[in-house]
Amino acid sequence: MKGSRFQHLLASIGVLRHPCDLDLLLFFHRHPHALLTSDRLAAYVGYDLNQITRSLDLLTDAGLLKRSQNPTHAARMYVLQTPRTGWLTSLIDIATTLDGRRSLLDAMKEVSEVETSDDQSKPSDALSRTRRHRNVS
Amino acid sequence: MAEMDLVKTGVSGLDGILGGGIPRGNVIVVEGPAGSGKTTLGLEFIYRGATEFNEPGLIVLFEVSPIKMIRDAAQFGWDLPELERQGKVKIIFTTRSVLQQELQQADSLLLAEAARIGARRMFIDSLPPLASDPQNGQNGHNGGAREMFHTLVQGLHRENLTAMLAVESPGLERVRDAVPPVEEFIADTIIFIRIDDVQRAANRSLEIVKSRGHDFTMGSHSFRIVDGRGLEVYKRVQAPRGMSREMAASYDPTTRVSTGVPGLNELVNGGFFLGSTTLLVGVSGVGKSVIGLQFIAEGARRGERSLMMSLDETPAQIARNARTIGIDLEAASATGNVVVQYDSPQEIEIDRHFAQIERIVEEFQPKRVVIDSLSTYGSALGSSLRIFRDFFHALVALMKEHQIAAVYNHENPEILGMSSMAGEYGMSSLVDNILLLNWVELSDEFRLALTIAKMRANPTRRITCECEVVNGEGMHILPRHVPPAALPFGSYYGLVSRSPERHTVRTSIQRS
Repeated sequence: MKGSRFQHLLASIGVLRHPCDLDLLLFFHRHPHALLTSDRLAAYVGYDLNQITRSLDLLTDAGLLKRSQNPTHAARMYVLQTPRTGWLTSLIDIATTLDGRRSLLDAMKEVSEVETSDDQSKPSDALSRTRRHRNVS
Repeated sequence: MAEMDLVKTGVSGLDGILGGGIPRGNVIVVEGPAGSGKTTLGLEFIYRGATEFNEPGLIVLFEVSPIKMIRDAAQFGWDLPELERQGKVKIIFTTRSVLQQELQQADSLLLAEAARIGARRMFIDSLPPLASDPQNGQNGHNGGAREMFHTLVQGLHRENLTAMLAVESPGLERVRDAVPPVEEFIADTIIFIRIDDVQRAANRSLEIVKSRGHDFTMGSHSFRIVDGRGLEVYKRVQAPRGMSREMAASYDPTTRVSTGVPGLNELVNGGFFLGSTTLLVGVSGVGKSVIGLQFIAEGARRGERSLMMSLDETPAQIARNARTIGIDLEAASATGNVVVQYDSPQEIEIDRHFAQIERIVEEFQPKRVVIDSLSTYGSALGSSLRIFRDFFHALVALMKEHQIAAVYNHENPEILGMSSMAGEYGMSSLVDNILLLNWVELSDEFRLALTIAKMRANPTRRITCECEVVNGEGMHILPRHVPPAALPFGSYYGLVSRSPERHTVRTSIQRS
């Protein structure tokens, strides 16, 4: 019952697919303006660099994150963008508790397994969800 | 000469110690151990700048997450998210190495963020300790931190930001090294924060050891972190308070203040002078507080503002005691002419306590003050006799500056007679008037004696009078002529010397 509630929340958000996406979002909630290298981000959040890069791209494409683009700087300025809808607050409220975060990660895995089988038939579905959430302040 | 552009910290009490503020563009190092209050000081520097001086500020964090800092700031009533929304504050989380790289680049992302909000202040929390060990040079493990510090300071100078850097010191107490660490040469202003162990308690203090471009008050000043307010810094009690107080060494030799004790005015030529310092000395229970209360009540009766500062009893207890001698202290307080202030002697921080008295005196402007009692200060301060003397000296100067007739109760431990007026405290020279209250054992009763032991610039007879405290009425001085059945004090030798002897010749009684 509880699990399905989290799955429903994740499905309505539509953006977060990998645990790293959630943890990165939580990190930027705690640090709304962060000037960091990807390496340092990977160390702070606890995922490998490739996954961090994918998750950063995902959050940026979804309009949840703004990052500076300057190749001469090793670090980038990341600024969390707050969506106009209140889902981020609901998500944070849940995810900032130990049980809530675990439940969300479990739900995410289940969704991911379902989507893996779905994605084989509908490859463009994730991208369309990402675009749906670009409406941010 | 052009007026110096000083940046006010806005921290209560700190700008006064800094001579008005810190010269704009100075790089300020705040060094102290964990938990000493560095972050709170830096945070308040930014908050006050944004809210009181229209100077936006940037906070750069390395370890503490911004969300925790926002939560901690809320405890002081500082709404950082609102200031972020208004574009007056920005909190950026980064790493030390990124900061170092950023400050080496002309197109720094960090400084671009600072420029975006028009930042005039920056707080960086925090840098590691930069030890003075010569081996920690370029090749030592701390060499990177030193290099970073150099780069940081140069970058901040370039941007003309007034920046505060929190630097961790390794121990609970900052030990001054023979060779100062590198940041002490480079930084413009250095503030040490300490946590001092005082009889199993811990007191915070800060010291400005260096500040380029202006004058400041040296020495160690106490401070507190107060919920809902922030830092409160109290200038050390010994520090000079300005010429007006230094010059106020005398009293008004024309205006006398009635004592409120029937019969006592006659013994002191009509009352105590305004601005004079009177010490009431005697063993516990002898009636010092009674005289103090009557002095306050007399002020209330005359419509004069009076302050009673007690370390011994709470206002409720004092009011109860006053009722027993016919004084309605609560009614007097209700008129607004009487203030009864209590401070617990336990773990007293003398700088804070003095600042509290100073504030009351400056705001309330009393004509009369009773301090009950000096001996409690003595025991509260433990073995720090020097601190006690400095405190008393500052108190006397404060009262003289405001031309207050001040009465200080002082408990003398000797139950019969006295071998010393002020014991080991050595404060007699600061005092204008000394009244000794003694028990005198005659026959099978203790009788109360009052001796005018000192009246500076106010010649009077040094006589010992009998007095009594009557339930519902208070103290009064007994007439010197008493019925022959009860011999007057004039019938004895050595009343205050612990061994009174009766005259054998009756004429000596008649003489008095």
